[in-house]
Amino acid sequence: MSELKGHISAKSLTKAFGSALAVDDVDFTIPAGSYCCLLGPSGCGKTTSLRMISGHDTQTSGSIAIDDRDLGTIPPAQRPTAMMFQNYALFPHMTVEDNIAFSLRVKGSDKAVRRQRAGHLLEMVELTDFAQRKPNELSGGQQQRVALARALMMNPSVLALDEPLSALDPFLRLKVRAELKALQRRLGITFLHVTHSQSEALALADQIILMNSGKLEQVGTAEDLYHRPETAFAAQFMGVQNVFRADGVQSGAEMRIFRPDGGQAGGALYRAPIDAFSFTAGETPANAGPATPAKVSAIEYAGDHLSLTVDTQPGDVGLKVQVPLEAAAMNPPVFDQVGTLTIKPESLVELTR
Amino acid sequence: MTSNPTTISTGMPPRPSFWARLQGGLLALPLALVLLTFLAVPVGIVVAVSFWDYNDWEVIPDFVTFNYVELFTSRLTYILYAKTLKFAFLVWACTLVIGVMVAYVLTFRIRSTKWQIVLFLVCTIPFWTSNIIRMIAWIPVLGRHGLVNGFLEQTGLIGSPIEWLLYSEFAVILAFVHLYALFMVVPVFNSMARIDTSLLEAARDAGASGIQTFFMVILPLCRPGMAIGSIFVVALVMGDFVTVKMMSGGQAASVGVALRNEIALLQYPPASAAAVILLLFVLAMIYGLTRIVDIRKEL
Repeated sequence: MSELKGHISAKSLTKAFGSALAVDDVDFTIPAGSYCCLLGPSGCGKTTSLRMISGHDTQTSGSIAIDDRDLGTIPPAQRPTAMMFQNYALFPHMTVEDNIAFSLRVKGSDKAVRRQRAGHLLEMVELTDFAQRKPNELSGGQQQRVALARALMMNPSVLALDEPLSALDPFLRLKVRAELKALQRRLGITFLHVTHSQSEALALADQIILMNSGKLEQVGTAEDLYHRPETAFAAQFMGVQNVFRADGVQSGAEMRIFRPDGGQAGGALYRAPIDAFSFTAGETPANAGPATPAKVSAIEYAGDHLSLTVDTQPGDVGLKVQVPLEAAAMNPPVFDQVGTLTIKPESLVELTR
Repeated sequence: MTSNPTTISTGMPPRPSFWARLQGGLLALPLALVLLTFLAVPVGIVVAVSFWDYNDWEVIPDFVTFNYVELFTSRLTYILYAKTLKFAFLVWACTLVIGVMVAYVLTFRIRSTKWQIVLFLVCTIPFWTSNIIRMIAWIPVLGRHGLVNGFLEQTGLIGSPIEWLLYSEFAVILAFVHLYALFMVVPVFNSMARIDTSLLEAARDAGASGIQTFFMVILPLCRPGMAIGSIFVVALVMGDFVTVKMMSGGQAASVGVALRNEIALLQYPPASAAAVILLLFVLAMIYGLTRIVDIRKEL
C-alpha cells in the first residue's frame, strides 16, 4: 500500500446559523488513511462538520487542516476532499460515464483521457456494462457506486460520505458497508462517514467521533464507545448500557435507583452493561449484590436472548435486562410481573456527566 | 367482480361490466362535449369552408381546391411566412434569454420563498391589463417625441429623433417580447425550481465554475421547460395580427395580418385555407420540438 493520506485536524471549529450553534467549538484529529465515522442523532452537527471539512459550508470560526495544510475558506474543488452526497446527486441528464468523468470535463481534459480514466473507475465499481445508461435506469446500489466512482475521480485524500447507506435496503446496506471498508483499506485514504446508526459506525470505523448538540461527546475506537462510554449520552446512544442514578450500590443492601437526567434528586450517575443485570421473578435471591424491586414493562425477542425492559419500583426508571433463552424457557417472563433486579456491583462505573 | 373462465384461459383482463363502462363514459362526457363543440366543430367548419367557392358578395358551398392552389403558387405566401418566421425566431430567442435569466435569478439567487413569490407576482403585473393597452403604452415611450427620443435628444446623444423606434419591425418585436416573455419565464422557472440543489453542490465539488454549472447542469435540466415556453411563444407569435398591425403602423405584414385582411374582405374560403395551412404549420413545428425534447417530464 502506498503512503497513507488524509490526516485531518480541526481546531475550535464552530458553525453558527443565525444565533443557533450547529457546531460548537469542536476539536478533533483524524489519522491519515483511517475510516472515521461522525456519529450522532439528527441535528447534532455531524453533517455540518462534514460539509465544513469538504468546503460546502464555511466555518464561523476555527480552522481545518488536511495533511498539515490549512484549508481556510478555499472552495471544495481546491481541497483534497471529494464528497459523496446523501441522495448521490447524480446528474440525471448525463450517462454514468459522463457523471464519473464530470470533474475531468470541467478541467478541460480531452475526451480520450476522460474515457480512459472513467473506464478504469467503472471497472473498479463493476459498472463497465452500464457506462452508457442514465442514472434513473440503475438500481439504488448501482447509483451509489456511480456516486462513489465520481467522487474518487477527483483523487481525494479525504472522501466525505454523507449517510451513504441510508437510501439502501437493509440487505444491500450490509454488503455495501463491507465494500466501502475494503475500498478504504485499498486506497489508503481517509473515509469520513456521517451516520446516525451506531451499528454502522461500530462495524466500519477505526475511529468514531460521537457528537451531540453541536459538541463532541466522545472520540475513540468502536471498542471504546461500546465498552467504555465516558458520558451518559454516549452510553445511552450506543444502546448496550443502562444509565441511571443510584445510591446504596456499595452496601449490597437495598439500592435506590433514579432517572439519569437528574430530574429526581439523589444518587450518583452510573452506567453498567446490560448483561451485568439480572431479573428474578418472585422472591429476592440471596447474596446477589445490590438489588431493587422492579416490574416487567416490555419483552422483546432478540434471537439468542429475550430483551426485557423493567421499571424499578419505586422510581419507575426503565432499565434493560437480557434473559438467556434457557432461563426464559424455564421461567417465562410475563408483563407486569414483579420481581427483583440485581446488578453485579463490580460492573458499575460512575460517570461525571 | 365475476369473470368467466374463457377470459381467464386466454389471459385477457376481464371485460368491465356494462355499468362500469357506462360510468367511465359518463365521466368523460363533459370534456368530450366541450372539445367537440368548441374545438372539433369549429376546426371542421374552417376546413370545410376552405374548399368552398366564393365571389365578391357570397360564399358558395362547393368542393374546389383553388384556394389552396392560389395559396401555394403565390409568392406573397412565402414572403409572409418568411417574415412571420423571422418575427417568431427573434421573439423566441429574446424571450428564451430573458426567461432563462429571470427564472435563474428567481430560483437560485433569491433565497427566501416569500421574495420569490413577490417577485414572481411582479412579473405578472403586465397581465393585469389588456394586450392592446400594453401595446398602446409603448407609443408615448417610443414615439417621435416620446420618452426615449426626448431623453436622447436632451442629453445630446442624437441630433434628430430616431425614426425606427416606433411603427417598425423593431417595435413589433419589442412588443411581442414584452407580451410573451412571461410565457417563457413560467415554464422555465417551473423546470429550474425542480433541480435538486445538491446537484449544484456536486458540480461545485467537482470543480465546476458557476458558468460551467449553468451550462452543463442547469440549462440541460431546463430543456423541457424551455420547450414548453417555446411552444407558447412560437404559437402566439405565428397566429398574431393585432401586435404586428399596431406596432408596425401597418408597415409590416405577417401571415396573421394577411388572414385578417381576407376576413375583412369577406373572402372566407381563402382565409380558411390560409388558416388550415397555418394550423398545420404550427402543429408541425410543435411536433418537431417534442421529437427533440421530452416535455412529458414536466406534465
